[in-house]
Amino acid sequence: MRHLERGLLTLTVTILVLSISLVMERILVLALIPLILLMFPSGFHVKVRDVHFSPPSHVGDDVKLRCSIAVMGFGYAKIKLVCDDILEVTEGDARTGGLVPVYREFQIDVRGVAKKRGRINFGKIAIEFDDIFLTKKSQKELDIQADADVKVRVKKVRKIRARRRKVRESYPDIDISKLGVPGTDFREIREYIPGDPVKFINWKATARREKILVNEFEVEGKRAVWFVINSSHHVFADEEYFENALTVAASLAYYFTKRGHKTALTLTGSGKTLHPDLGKKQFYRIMSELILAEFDEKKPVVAVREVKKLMMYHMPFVIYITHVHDDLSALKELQRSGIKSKPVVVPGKEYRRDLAKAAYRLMVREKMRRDADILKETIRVRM
Amino acid sequence: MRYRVLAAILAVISGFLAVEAFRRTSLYGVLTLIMPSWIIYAVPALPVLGFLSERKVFGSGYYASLMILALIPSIQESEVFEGILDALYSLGYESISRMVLEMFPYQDSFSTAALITMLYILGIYSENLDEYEKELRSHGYSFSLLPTLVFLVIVISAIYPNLNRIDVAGMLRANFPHAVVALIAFSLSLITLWRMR
Repeated sequence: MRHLERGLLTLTVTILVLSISLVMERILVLALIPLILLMFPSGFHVKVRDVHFSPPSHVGDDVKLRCSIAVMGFGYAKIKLVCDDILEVTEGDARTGGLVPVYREFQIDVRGVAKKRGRINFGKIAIEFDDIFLTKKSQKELDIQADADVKVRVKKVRKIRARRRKVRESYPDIDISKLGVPGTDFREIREYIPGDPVKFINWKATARREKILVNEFEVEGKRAVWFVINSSHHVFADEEYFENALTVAASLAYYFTKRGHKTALTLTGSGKTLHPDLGKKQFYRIMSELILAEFDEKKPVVAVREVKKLMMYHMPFVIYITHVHDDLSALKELQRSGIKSKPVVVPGKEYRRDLAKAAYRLMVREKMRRDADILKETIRVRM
Repeated sequence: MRYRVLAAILAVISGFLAVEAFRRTSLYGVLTLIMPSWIIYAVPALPVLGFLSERKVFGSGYYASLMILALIPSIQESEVFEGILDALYSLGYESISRMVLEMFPYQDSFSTAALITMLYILGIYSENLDEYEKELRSHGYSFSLLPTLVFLVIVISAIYPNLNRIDVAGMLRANFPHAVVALIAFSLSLITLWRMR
């Protein structure tokens, strides 16, 4: 209950108590005044007109929304475009309101940048209406059908030359795959496994060892690239980081798919995994997963442990996309199993306080010591 | 802050009105024999103290005490007062009963009580509007709530001259409460039908 309502009700009760205790019915009439104020009608009617909406196609694109809202009633209207987590307003105001003396038209004219991907409704308008005596409040939510499919932006990946230093792991442009069509380069002799072609049986070695041995050849094709995105809840993992991480994943997926690599994806939060595959179709599969991605409960180490067996079968190159606050325990888990991996640290919200900035710099330095790529503006692949 | 100043001014005016009404009674004369006469003016000074100490300026307790002060001149209208006098009279204290009656000569102070109530309502609004406007600003709205106060003044000034015309006793005799209950029941049934449509 609001203070005003409470005040008026207290007044009514006080007058009633005085009137009853003194048995003076004449002062009862004074109790009518607060009751009139409390019972004042607070109904209102809303109509939306002239909606102009230019939808974005990618995260970071411009969004323009203009509409007029006609309100009928007697009181105060508070109109708000519900867009806090989907739109960063750069021009105009997402809120408007004021006194409605029977009829008034309000205008919302907003220009901003799309912050979130997926099927987004930019046209949710919340209207709060207070009667003129501020004793009653009514709310309405309008939907002006301003829906848009916002996709993850695929940025151009820039190749750069690394500084002359000892690199523990480069990106897998020349690495070869574990699975694929066997070539002519001999790799090793190993024991026969049911399903191996008969033509690969090394008869001489079989006769010598008295058990069936086969020749194994290097397989053709490029190594699979596995994107592991840290989508687990973390106190400092904000939406900005997540959008950046998804953009990086989408851009790198495009880059490696175009170059004939098999690509795969794991989202640590939900534990969802897309198995490695080649081609455009796989890229679109990855894109549709990225569009729906959200933060979730599962920890990165747990998610990586679950998918490790599959990874060991393909022996891919893992690109672990994470934030600067991650302790990289998931990466350690991968490295323990001999899977080649590379951490890519994506920035989140910029810190304003000096102390926070200094702490951030320290964490970045620590990640760089662990051979992490720190991304800022552009996505680079160090060769 | 500007509305709070207005609330303090309204509370002080109400205090003065109540004190002036009380000063017309013989009880005030009796009290001045015991204590200094200026002490009664501490009543309108209370809201100023409340204002300076950042506390409630026009509270319901203060309003109730002002109403009692304002209603003392017309206490003869009260059935309770009459009952006390009758009781004293029938118990044999005739002189005391007469003395008490002379101490409270009848003066109609209903209009003062009504004015204090009106000012109290304005005071409640003035005290809360500051807070409401602050809340609006914090949510990103920039409009003023002054029209509420203006409209309230208009409504109150329309009601005040007509208050004496409303005959509550007559209404009570004419089964007015039953009519009110019936009206509420009728309205509730209409609302229920509207919701179920």
